[in-house]
Amino acid sequence: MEQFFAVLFGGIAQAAVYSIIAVGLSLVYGTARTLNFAYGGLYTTGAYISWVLTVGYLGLPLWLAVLLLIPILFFIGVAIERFMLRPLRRGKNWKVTAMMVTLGLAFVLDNANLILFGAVAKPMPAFIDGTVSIFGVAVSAYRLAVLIIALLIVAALELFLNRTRFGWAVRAVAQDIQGARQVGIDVNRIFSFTFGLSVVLTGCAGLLLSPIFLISPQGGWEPFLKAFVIVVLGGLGSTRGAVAAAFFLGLVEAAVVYELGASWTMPVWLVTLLLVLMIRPQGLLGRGQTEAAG
Amino acid sequence: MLSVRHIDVFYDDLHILHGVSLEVGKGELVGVVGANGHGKSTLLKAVCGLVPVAAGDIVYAGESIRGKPVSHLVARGLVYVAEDRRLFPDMTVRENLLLGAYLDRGRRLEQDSLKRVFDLYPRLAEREAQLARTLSGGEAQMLALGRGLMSAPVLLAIDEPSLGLAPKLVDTMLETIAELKRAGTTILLVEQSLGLIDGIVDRVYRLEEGIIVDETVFASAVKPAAHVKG
Repeated sequence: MEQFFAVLFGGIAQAAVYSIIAVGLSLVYGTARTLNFAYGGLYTTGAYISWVLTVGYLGLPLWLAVLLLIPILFFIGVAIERFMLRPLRRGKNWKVTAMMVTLGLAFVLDNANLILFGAVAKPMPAFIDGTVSIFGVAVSAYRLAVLIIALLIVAALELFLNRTRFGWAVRAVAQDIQGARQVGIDVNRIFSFTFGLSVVLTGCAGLLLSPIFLISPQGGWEPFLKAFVIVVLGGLGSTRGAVAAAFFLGLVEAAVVYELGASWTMPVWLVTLLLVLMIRPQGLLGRGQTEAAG
Repeated sequence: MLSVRHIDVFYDDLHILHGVSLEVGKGELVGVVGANGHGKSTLLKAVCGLVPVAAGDIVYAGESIRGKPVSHLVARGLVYVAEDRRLFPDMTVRENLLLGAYLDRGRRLEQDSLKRVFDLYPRLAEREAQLARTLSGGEAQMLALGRGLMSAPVLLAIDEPSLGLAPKLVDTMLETIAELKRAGTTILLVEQSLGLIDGIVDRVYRLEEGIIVDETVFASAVKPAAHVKG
């Protein structure tokens, strides 16, 4: 029983991080109508940058590394949107073109990381050691910290989206691009911002999970695939749906790991996705996609 | 106030507007009528910066605004109200209205404007906390116009406000528009038939196949001098 709780807790902590990754993917899909295939590569890149800033080369303390990491990631995201995707938006079928460009970027990032850091996975020390006891069950202190940080990030995002004027503008763009333009919202600025924010989210998730999974050049594909399943399951473009789906799948994952072993995770996730979509094609909290013309 | 000079507009390869010109003087209520698909909405969207203009010029309050971003135009009080409303469906009535005051111009007057909209449409005040997607057609049209008013417009460009409304609601809507005009807002109003709006407009342009074919001045019109100085 104790082991089951440990697995369950691990599942919840990971689910919290997956929800951050998924919310970022969902935000960009919702506002800029772009499915970002480079998202996993950016997750890995975030982990490698953290590694370089801390144990790898510079030896900075964690707080300083995070302080540097966030603006670097944000800038990368803004640059991708501004220089790679925005010019495409004028053309016909730009959604498909943009998707292909992000797929290309994913391969470039993977291989750049491979050349720079080599194929051997980099270990990242946990920033907090030891265990804490919850209801008499010993759980890793680091996983608890990850869970708390991830929940704080999700809460901060919810506050931002629902309580600030700029957050409203982001939601407005997601709901009706022309309506957003009519009230004077600079839609391109929102696209850049959400792209930057999403890269910060995925990169920080890369940092949070690196002590658990190690950092390797292809390591971002699994979180990307999982984030994709979460986003589809939660309902495309729905932030709360993504969080709900992440926790749902996190619990499923915990049960699967406990009963069948970790290698069954992905098959069970995908079967769960298929089952849910058969009953609710719009996802758990989705409303069905309204196609808003630019 | 507004001077549209020989503009050409295309959608992809389709030539929609052919050298269209029109004038709107300060404080006027000017109509544009014509059948569906003849370019009325395109004309309004071109004026408001929502579709690109291929040739000609648009001068608003002494400034050439062709190619300027919509946010710049809204910041100067040129506000568009869409025929298909373009509300934010998963946001509340209140959030929709406050987003109308997104730019500094609207924000400065936010509380006053909100009071004005709620006085004009008590229905919206009652439904303040409801999601926009749950509104009836008439209420949605009120919210669309209300959101436009929240931007503190100098010139309000309204696209077929009667679309999808019951006849009784159409009358109320047009009466509201006439009232806005009396309160000092300049209005460019697009409708399908002249019969709907001939009681409230000062002048009407008729648009056929992307060309202005006719201009009618009504007796109640303000003096022509007012619309020369733009």
